[in-house]
Amino acid sequence: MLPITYAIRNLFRDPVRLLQTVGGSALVVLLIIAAAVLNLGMNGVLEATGSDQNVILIGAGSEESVERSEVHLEAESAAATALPGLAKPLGTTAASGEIVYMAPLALRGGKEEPSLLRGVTEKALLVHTRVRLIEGSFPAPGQVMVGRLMHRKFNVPPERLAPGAILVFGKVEFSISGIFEAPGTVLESEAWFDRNDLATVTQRDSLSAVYLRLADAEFDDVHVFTLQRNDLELTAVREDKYYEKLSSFYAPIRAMTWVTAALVAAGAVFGGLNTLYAAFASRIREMATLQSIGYTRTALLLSLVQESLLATLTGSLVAFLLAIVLFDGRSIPFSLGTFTLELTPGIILAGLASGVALGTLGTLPPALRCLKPSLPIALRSS
Amino acid sequence: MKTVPTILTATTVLALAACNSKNTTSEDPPSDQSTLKAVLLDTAPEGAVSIVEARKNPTPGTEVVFSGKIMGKMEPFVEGRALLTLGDPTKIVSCDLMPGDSCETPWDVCCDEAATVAKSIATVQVLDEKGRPLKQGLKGLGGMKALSSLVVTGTVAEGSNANNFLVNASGIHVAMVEPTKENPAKAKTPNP
Repeated sequence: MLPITYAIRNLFRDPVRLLQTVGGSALVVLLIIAAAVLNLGMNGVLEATGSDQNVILIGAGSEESVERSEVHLEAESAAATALPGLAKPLGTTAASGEIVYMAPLALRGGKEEPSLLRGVTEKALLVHTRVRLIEGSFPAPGQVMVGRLMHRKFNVPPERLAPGAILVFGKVEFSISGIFEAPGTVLESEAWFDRNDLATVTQRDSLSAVYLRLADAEFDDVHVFTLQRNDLELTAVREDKYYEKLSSFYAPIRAMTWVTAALVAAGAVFGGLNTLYAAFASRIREMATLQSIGYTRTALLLSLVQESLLATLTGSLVAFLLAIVLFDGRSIPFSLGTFTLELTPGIILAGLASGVALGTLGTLPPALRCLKPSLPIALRSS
Repeated sequence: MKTVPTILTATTVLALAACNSKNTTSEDPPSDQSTLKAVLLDTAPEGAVSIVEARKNPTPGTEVVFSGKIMGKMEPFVEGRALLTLGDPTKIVSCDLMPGDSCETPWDVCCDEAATVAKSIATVQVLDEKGRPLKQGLKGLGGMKALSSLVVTGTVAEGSNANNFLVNASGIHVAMVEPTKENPAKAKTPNP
């Protein structure tokens, strides 16, 4: 085996090539990390939002969008009384009729931003069990409660959306009554209004959906209820399935991130191969000399791979440092809410594996070509 | 050196056992329908009216006898619950009776107006002792399937109104399992 110092010394023979390899591998690993955190973040937030214990009663024909659904006001009380087996925390049936509306919302004097508004009563807290009020109070008429990540929509610091601040919807002003959290869900980017307020401002006399939390009841019981009450024209959808379907809507965007990363990685691999073919071609005689003094071809191959791995892993390290600064903990707003980027151990492992793959797979073909000529021919090469 | 054959034999036995249990699951017999069979009637009850006629008096508790065809929804049966949707063939037409229609789900009556369908269907359920639909599907009972013709006797259930007709069935007669488009007279009748 050649000593590792040989590989290290060789790295610095051509500083430009070293910089190229380190920079190229850093870019590839960074892009792979970016694609992974974006996919995981967006998928994670949509999956975490839906609960398999919740069933949404949506207007028949609007199964794919709560915002477009219209449900008769009577459906809330009808479901609460007709369905045995719903959860009853604190003696109240967990059935919450809500208005869900996508509309522009603005800070007083600020720019309007599309936001998800939810008209609720206190019963919403019985079904959306991850919601916790962390500051202020539940909204009374004329007030609004905002999620702790809503400030990202307006691109302002959290202090600008503290209780007492004013949000404008249409021409009506609402004062912020409180801030809530719902860790890992899209709810954290929503604005919750008093249901009657939202019904008045949006001029609607129907609900968007009724959210039910199951205890002993099964999904089929809720489905049966929709058939027993054909007049209400309802469809039952499990909340986790609903968000799963929404998640599939973003699949093309997620696929694009992977395609971009793959294309850049392919470009980097071919660029790297080109550089290494040229670099190793000029070292054929050097390798032959080492063979003639007793080093085996395998030992030389390992040394060349070692040399490349040192460069690509340095690049990976640079990529990890950049990823921590650029991605970790950053929240990204999208049409349905906000998700937070998180460098998980799995993502770091994927980045590391990419660095190792670049260092080995990209080196093997030029290294094998460099070591292929027989010793007499190699020694005579220029 | 008997270790290797022993391990091989044990692995084979385990693999076969796993395959066997999978086969058993996929060929499970349908759930016991003895409770449901009690509501099956061999002969059609007298005085059956159409669904639209029966809907004229949706007062809960009213005794009704009516006939209809299993249709009116994309999924007229509920798996694991004794509940089905019956449509009035005098008001709505299943797509199999439309000349040239090759609809794969003719029971969804997609050619009729949604408002007409809503006024021409009845939901029929068989209840358990707690007053909830039995946790057994009606599909296959007496051979019934989508588009089968039934005669139902029972009482109008709570929740019924001018726009909703829900019936607690006490008797169901399968009048015709499967009508044929070419010659309705040759339609299959249920097995005795």
